[in-house]
Amino acid sequence: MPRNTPITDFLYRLEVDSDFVNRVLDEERREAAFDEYGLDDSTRAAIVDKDFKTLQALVDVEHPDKVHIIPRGWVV
Amino acid sequence: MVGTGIRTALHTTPEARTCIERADKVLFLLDAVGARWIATLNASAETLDHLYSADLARTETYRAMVDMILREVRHGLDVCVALYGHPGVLVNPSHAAISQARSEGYPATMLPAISAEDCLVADLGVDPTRWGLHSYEATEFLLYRRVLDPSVALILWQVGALGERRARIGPNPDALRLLTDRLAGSYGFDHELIMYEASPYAIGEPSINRVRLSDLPAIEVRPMVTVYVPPAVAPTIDAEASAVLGALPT
Repeated sequence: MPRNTPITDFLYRLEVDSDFVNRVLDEERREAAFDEYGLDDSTRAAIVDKDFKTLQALVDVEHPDKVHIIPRGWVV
Repeated sequence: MVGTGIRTALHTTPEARTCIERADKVLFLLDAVGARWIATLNASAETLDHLYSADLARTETYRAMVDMILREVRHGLDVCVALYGHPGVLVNPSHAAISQARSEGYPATMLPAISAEDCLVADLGVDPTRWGLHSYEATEFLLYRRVLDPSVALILWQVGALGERRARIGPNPDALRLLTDRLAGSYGFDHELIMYEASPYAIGEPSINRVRLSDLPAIEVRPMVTVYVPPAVAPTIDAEASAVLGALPT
């Protein structure tokens, strides 16, 4: 059964749908966009504040098994 | 080998996207939003991040990634590996996999992409050619006791994993104090550093925190933070070169 990941889905949509970005940036239309994904108040506030750290923490909660990427090893 | 930049779908070049879409097999290292996106481009997409282990040296993990990539290549598949940022910057398995593939007679190429440094230049408004730029992986900077010129800016990568061989996050406190002391030798304890982190999302401001070097050991360093150290002094003009060139730099 697919996981319920509304914040990830919302952030994904922002990357691929410029009309959706415009809706979210528009104060009069953004609440309907938030409602579409069932986002709670704290998530809405993080989006309005453009607070990516909070959003990242919320995405982490949706993906508890996801590993943070450290791409490079150092060599002695 | 392609990179997806920092904001995955927005930063991926059309050339890289075509490679992802046309590949027989896609392997990737991306965040959760990037993983969601790449699955829509190619149904074969499979993450490499399960190879990380908190108890395993990262160099071992990277070897396992190269093995997984080459296994698909040896099956005769057209393999595309998509990596966060630039695939050739601060990445082990990309270079190693290309080298291994070529040594076995398989063609392998890397495409350019937007790196964290590209975002830093844009977000901080600095020109790396203005005063020059040192750029070091933080642990290696300490291990090899790199010599600094305080008239040159410095970028330190992976301070959030300073002294950590495994996939665990969080710098070693002793290593952070050592880093502070080493930097103070060139820049002074009162020098201001910038703790920088690009937003990975389409909506999100970069994180730009200015701190005094002396405060560095007490600061929480997030995993993806990059430390930018501006120059502390103006460079000295070489009289001989100036006479030959007949002009002073502007």
